[in-house]
Amino acid sequence: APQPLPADRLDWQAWGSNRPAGSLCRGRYVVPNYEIEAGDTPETIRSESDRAGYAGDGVTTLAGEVVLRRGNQQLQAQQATLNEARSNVALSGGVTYRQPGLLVRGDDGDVSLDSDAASIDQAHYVAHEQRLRGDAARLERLEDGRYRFSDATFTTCEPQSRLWRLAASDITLDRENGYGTATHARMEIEEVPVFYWPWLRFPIDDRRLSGFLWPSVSHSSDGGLDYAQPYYLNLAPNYDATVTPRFVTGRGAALGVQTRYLFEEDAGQFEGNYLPDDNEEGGDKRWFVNYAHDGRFDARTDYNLRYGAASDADYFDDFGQTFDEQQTDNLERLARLNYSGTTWNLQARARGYQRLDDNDSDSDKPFYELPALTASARWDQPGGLYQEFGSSATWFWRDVDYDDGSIIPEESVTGTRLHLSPAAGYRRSPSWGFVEPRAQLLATQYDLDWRGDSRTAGFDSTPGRALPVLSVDSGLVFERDATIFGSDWRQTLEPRLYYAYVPYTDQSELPQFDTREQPISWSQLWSPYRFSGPDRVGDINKVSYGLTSRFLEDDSGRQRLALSLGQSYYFEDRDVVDARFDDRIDEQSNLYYFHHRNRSPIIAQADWQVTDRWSVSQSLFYDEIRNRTEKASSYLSYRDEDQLVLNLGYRWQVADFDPFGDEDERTSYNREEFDSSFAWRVTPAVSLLGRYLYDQTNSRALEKLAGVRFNDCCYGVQLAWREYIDDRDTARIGDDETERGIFLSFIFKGLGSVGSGGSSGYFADAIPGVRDEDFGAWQGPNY
Amino acid sequence: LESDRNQPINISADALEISDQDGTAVYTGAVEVDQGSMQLRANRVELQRAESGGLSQMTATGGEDGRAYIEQRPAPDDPLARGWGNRIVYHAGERRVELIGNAELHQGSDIFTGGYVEYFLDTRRVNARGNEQSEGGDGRVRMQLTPAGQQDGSAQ
Amino acid sequence: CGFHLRGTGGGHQLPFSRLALNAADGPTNPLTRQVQQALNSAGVVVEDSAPWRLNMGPESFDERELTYGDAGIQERQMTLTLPWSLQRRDDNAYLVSQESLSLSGTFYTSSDQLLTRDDARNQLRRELRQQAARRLIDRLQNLDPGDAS
Repeated sequence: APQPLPADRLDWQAWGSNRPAGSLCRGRYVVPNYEIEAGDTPETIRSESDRAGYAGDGVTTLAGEVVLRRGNQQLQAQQATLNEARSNVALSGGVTYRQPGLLVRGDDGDVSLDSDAASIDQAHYVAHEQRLRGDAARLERLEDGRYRFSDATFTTCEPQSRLWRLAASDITLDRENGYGTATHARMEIEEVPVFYWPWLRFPIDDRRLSGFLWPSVSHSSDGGLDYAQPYYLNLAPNYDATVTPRFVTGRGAALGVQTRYLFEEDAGQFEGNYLPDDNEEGGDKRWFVNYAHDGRFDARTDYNLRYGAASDADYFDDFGQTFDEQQTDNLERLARLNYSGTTWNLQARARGYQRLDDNDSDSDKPFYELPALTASARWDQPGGLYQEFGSSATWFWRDVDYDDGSIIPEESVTGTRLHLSPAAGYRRSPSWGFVEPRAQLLATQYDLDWRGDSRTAGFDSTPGRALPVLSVDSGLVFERDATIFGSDWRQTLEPRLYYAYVPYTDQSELPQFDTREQPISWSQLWSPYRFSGPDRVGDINKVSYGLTSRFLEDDSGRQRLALSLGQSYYFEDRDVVDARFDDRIDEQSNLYYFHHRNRSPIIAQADWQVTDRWSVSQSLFYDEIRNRTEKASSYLSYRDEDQLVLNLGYRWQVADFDPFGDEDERTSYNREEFDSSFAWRVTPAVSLLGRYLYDQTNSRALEKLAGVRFNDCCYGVQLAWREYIDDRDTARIGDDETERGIFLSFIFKGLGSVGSGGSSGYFADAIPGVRDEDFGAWQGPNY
Repeated sequence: LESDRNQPINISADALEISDQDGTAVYTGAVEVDQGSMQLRANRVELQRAESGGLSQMTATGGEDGRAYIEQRPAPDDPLARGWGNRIVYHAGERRVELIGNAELHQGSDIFTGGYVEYFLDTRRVNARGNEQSEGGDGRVRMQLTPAGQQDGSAQ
Repeated sequence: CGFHLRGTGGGHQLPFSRLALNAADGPTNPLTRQVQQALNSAGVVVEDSAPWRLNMGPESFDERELTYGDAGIQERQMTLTLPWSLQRRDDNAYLVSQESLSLSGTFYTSSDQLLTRDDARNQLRRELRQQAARRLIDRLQNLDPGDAS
């Protein structure tokens, strides 16, 4: 390809004193005005030159500083010859071709005037909007609007910067569909070739394409160097595939594949990875597959398909390329048909999960719903009266070894459950308060096949249960104008009173397919349900009382500060207990205490937007019977999106606040953690990020994360180092392992994000307030 | 037309001045010269005769908007070719017209404007230049062309 | 201490008796319905010909895990963000432009509650939508239709 032109020949203007703050580039492209006016019709050609001639055979020749204008195309050359039909113009002696958003300079060229075809030799081009530029032995604009460059280069770096460029024997840019393809492509850093592709497709805007598929390089303590190189297969405009050979020094070679398809009414994606023999795990096969498909029959009816499976529970811990992937704790298998009407919502689904838990025993395996049919509806009358209807019919099944001791009797069963939950209520909520009496019937009928042999000998195989749920929710809103700290506020005082009653009935011989008891929370104060799922209807007889005060800015009504307090008073003990723990509910256990105390902890919450940037949020669960804080969390955060994000957090949770797990899951120590994280844009080019999560009780760091991002006009590099505790899905700290990893990702701007699974997922989870797309964000042409 | 060259020349003007020794005749005041399909309009037209007695050259200057005007139909079904110039020189022998100074030529749907435009009546060849003997203008030649599809005189 | 029931005794009345509602997620979206009900019960008639129009952008939920580790029950924080603006119908002047309301709540989930994980999530979504509707009314209460720009 010819040598690049100097900057001023490419419409490039360096910033002077008018350089905008935070701009990373040292200048920008400025498109000059047209030299001459356009003709009155788009086809009219106007020209200006030193000399013009019209030969007898109709050929028009212009010479001497020729400028030709047709519609929004402008051509400049020393010599221009138009054929008799005026359908083509041949240019020589230094050509400049302009059209909106594009500049091409070359030695000579041939431009068709009645179609979009054009070709220019020894060309240098600039696409101002996308800030793409490059050179080519020949540049052709094809009839269908695509551009083809032969023996060409392509980069988004500023003129005179040779930082990176893509050189190829043939590049085709399809601006309409937003991608380019190249053959015999090589990426050159400072004109040194560093990568080679026989065939390559890459995005030139941020549409569907996932991004320029760059190698991802990382190093972890147990896997060693992990190098993956994706190759993109262009199969059809709406169907593409990526094949990713991947090599992990400690484990071996693996092959990954991802295909995606997009049709009118549905789209889907399949991905998988296969490692034949993992040296770290004694040659086991390690693999995972995940298929997802969503489609729609009509505006109201849609369907989804999911199938995920992995060779073992540790797969994602070892092979997950982003923090999100590493935290995958289940893979869903689902076929679901949805109909959402104005009143009725119907759904039919078959669903199951592979749980990825290190010490999975049969008792932990979730049931399959083969299938589950649900129908729900709601009717509202203008006065405030409403009726709700909920129903579900589910066939539960699971493939477990029933004489495995760990399965409790209530779960060694398969069968069907019909559950109806009609309700009626009346809700009036004028601006000064609300009142909502509500009555619901929970009726459940089972048809079971008990498998626990002796332990479930006497259990009824077609048990049923029907229980009412009665509740009244009410609240008032008082307000006053107050001047506090020197400014005017509108302060509200919102007392709330809630009563709920559900009678007790013995449910100890009912199955427990998908139901778990929930720990206390603010929203549970105002809810009659103690369990998630219909297999258990928790008896309750309580009144909850609370007070919320909110401070609204007088002029705008924006909420600055909200304080709320709430507590429940139990008139009776709670007897229905999660079947998994009714054997452990001896007098001394916390489980017993939680079910027999007559008052819930006082729950206090505060959300304070101190300034536009600083905010504080605090929550506290204080048990005044045992005079101890059961749970507390407070967060202080500073948000100045493009400068500094700072978070300081403290979490406390008493040892058995969550008594509902089995022995693997229950923490035996008070959890006290300090969390601090920040993202600081030191200069427009350099950002530092970090997180430090400290476990005060066991005086160890749970996660240490440090990252540096270097951001320049046309590229960005991010290096992240992470050391974290892998708790191996148990609450015991004895089996915890410390993992370390270094992750390198880099981005060539204009070619989409790139690096280990793209740079998303590293920081967004660990540092609240950081948006991963900041990194390498395309700040638009004038930055 | 091809046949123009042997058509009679009719000239009308306010005044006529003839000087026999060098065979020139000068017409002034609303001069109208017609020869077949060719028409010339100017304030002042100077005719020179060749030794053989036929017309050798006509030089016209001035006109309604300060420019002389000439028109001619190159072929029976072609639109008129029309030219303006501060000074128009018609070379009978070569069938060549020179439009000099503020020159403008409408030929078919093309328009030439510039300092100097030379037009060959029969071959329809045109040469246009910027400055040299031009009187005024920025030394550039401007054209307005219409692609083949719209030749039928839409750009008049 | 100066407190009086809202809407009685000279409190702020909603300065709009009629409002048009234009929701990006469409009229059947649960949040749109909540806002409609909240407006009705605050005495506002919702109709298209009203002089002022409340534009609701698309609602968006995002989640973050608060607890570290995979053992036991995890607490997840969910944040609802609703962009909105208030415009005068005849000349499109904005009284409130590009505001965004965001509020968050937490819910519990764990890897042995996979089948009912969505129920807890949807329950919290309903609560956040109900609160968002009320917070929108609070904001409307304070506005003065006079100073549209």
